[in-house]
Amino acid sequence: MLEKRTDSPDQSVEEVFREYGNMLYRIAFVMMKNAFDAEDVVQDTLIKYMERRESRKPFETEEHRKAWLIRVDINLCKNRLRFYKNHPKIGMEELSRYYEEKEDTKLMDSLLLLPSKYREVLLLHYVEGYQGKEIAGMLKLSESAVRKRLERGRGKLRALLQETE
Amino acid sequence: MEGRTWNGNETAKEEQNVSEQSAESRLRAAAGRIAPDEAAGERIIDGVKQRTHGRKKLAFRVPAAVAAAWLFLSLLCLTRPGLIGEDVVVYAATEEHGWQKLVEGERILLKMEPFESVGEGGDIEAFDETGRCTYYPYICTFRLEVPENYLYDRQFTTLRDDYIGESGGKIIWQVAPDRPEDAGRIMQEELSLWIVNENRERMAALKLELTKEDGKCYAELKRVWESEAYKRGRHKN
Repeated sequence: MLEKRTDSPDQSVEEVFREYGNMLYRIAFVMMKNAFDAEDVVQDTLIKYMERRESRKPFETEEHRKAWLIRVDINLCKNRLRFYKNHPKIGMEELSRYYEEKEDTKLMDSLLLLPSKYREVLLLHYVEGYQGKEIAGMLKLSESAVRKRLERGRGKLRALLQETE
Repeated sequence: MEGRTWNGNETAKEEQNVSEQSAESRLRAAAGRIAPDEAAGERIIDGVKQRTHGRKKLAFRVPAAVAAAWLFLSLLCLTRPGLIGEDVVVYAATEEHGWQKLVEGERILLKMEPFESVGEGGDIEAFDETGRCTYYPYICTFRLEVPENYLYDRQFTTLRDDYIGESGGKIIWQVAPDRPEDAGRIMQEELSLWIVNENRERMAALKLELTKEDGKCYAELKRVWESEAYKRGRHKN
């Protein structure tokens, strides 16, 4: 008789979703600018996670698991963005459903207007709390490139916010 | 004078720092509010379970008798009239027959239409220094027909460097050049396309198997699934 696995993939995907679902969705939403793609990306990220589990490649630490999920999430977003560049889709998700304050909608609208390379570093640094070195590791960039993107992204965000005031 | 200017700059810098800090904390708070609702969470988990169950090799875990019974029941279900999709139809652009309706289990050769060009000089490398594909010479196209009042739940997949996704009611397969190391390899991926109602409840699904072999692209409709609610709604119309 087969021994029952205590960490069955089904349980595990739910646990991972409970732990990191909001973060993965938030990143995907900011990258893709709509809920439909964000949902799909999170789903695909979790499928990749399951495949990795099936191939029995363990994570060294919980931080390693989290960073791996973020990297896969962002890469899947980038694949879609490259596709949509050639085959545009219609409409942009209404952000206002998340916000009552007009100021917050304006801030998020401005963030979404930034090119994706700035959006991803700003989100990882200011929202997810990662440092430059960690972001560099996740995005396979040099630390100085991350610093530059953060600096330029901040500048562009500030300029956009001033424009709309 | 100099001192005043210096102090003025410092004050401006301090003000900017304060305003940046406040913008940062606002950004943190605002972005933190983006989260999937309960229904979206359920859709995500369901989708993961369904799609991974389709991919898993179950043979070594499921006892043979259970597997045989499952296979028998599946075959019984699949051969029952009315269970196979009637209104969800996929057409593929083919060289030989124009728009050809896909039939379950029948693999067809797709038409590869020119898409991106490398320009007159042809001096653009197909893959950049990081190994990423830089241009896509061909696309294959599928056309979908679903009844009124239903929508596509956008789906997307990749096959090596190729992108396959829904765009404006069509499925576009953006074909990358072949990599030398892939010579002789057969590459395959499945695209599941969901048909949803206005509440984004999944009503029907179809699965396409996409194959790339010797630089040619093939598609096979693997399965069309329709929910009971979808079938009931269809008969009302």
